[in-house]
Amino acid sequence: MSSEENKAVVRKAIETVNKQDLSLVDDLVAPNYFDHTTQQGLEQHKEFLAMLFKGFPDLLMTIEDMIAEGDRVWVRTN
Amino acid sequence: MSLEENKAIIRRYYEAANKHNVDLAAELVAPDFIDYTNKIEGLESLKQFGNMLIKGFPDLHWTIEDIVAEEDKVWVRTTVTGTHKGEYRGVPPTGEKITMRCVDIWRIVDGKIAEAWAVDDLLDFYKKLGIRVT
Repeated sequence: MSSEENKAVVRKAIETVNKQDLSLVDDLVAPNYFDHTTQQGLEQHKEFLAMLFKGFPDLLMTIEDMIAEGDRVWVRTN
Repeated sequence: MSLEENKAIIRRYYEAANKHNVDLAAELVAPDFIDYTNKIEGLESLKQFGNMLIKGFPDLHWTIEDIVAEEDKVWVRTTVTGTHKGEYRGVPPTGEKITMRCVDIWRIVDGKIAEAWAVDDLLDFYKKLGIRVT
């Protein structure tokens, strides 16, 4: 995957959050996904998103800036 | 400037910051520098900001956890630690050790740091200093 392809995956993931559609998460997130900051895997991540969508039905992430190098993509959002 | 050269400039900036040498850090920064997050414009304003941090947290230390670059930008993930031993923004010293997780975004123009954005996790910082965020 190129850096631009990796960025496209992350853009899609953020669009998924904005659509509040959990059914799309499995297409974009690996089964062995791990968030090092929250120490959570995929199932916990989905539970977190469900909680977030319930609490903030108009939640909107706006991409302000994005960078990619190697296998990593960094995004600045509002 | 190559991506690796830009990264090297940013690494030197954090080294100067860790030495608490604001003048050395400022040598890497453009005169019309602007930090959109911390509302810093120009070198004097940047030095004042640095000195204020060091006064409040005399053992302040940045650890670079990760660094990436693309085009004219360098993004850095840091862990910042320090002990609140001096007055900081009107808050008297609490002696509390604070840890912040930060992402700093730098734009480099002609070998000088020209623009900055910061995304900081300040929850621990505010809690330890007893600052209520409203």
